[in-house]
Amino acid sequence: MQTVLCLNPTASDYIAPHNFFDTKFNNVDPGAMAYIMDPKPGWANPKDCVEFPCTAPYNILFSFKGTQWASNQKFNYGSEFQVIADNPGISPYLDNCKKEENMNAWICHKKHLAVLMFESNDADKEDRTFSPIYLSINGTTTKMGNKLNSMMDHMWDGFYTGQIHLTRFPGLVDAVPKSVWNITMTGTPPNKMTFKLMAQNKASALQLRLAYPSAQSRNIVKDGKIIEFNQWDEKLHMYGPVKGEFCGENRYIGVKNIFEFYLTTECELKI
Amino acid sequence: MSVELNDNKIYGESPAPDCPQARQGGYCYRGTKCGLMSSIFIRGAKPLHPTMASPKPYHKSKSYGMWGGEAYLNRNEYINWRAKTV
Repeated sequence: MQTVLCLNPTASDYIAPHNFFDTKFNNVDPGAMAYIMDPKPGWANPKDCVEFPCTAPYNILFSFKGTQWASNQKFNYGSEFQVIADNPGISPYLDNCKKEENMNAWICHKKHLAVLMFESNDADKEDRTFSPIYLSINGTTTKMGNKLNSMMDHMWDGFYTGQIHLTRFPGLVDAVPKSVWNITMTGTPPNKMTFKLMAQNKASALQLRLAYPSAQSRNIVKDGKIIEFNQWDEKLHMYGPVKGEFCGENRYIGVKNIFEFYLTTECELKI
Repeated sequence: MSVELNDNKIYGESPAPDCPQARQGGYCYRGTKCGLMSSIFIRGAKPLHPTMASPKPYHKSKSYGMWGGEAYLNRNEYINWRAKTV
């Protein structure tokens, strides 16, 4: 097999967003455009990724802009498109995306596909995991859920593996400004976390909702400064809703213990 | 941190075949081939340019993925790509 694009077959943890500008395809067969591998089933073992394979290959984002197609091309995806993996938790649920069987991938024509990256900053960030984590659009009635795993254990201590897995999670999202996404963790969320968003379109942004099992004082920190909750809303009897007006805008919903905050490509946020 | 790859022409097929034609010749490698393998950003990576012998494959990831990293590929052209190795 020959393909123009492929994945590093050993990249279990993170494949950075690839931003293609002014690419030209000249006499490329439809089946030779790309092959996007699935995560290797063999990664699911106690010394690598544990219960299920690490998820970097499922969360790739190749974004093309200003693409040119030679007249001899047998296919043409237009100037602006994206290549994403055949990720069963998100790809089938995105509109304007079409599966290409021979690529094992989906071709999308969307404006705001992005990679959300977040990690634990707690002292036990390599020892305690809270995956699988599911990313999904809030309120969706589908079975959408981009399932994320911790990173692979790469360490060998003599004869033994290190049994350490960094809790850092890159995940594909459709970051349409003011869209609302849930981060559902299957373990207790860390006390301290960092979040960022990467996209070819810097206008991408989203609101994140993170549920906690108990009440505790939490704040969003941007550039070392706390961003206060939105103004209290007397009618709602809670802090005012996040309107997507700036990166870091946030509120905490008491009793339900849900933290909501707005993330853009322009800033990093810490809890 | 970022990787950039600018102004390249990357060929799939050329007049020289990958394998001997009509069963003439000897060594032939007909494995999976790729024009652009995805960039990775890892902690404790090998140097970008090899300076000493390394166990294959050179691109093997032996460390965590990093927090930072984006790849930018500008004005590259992919020419004559067939789905199967000739």
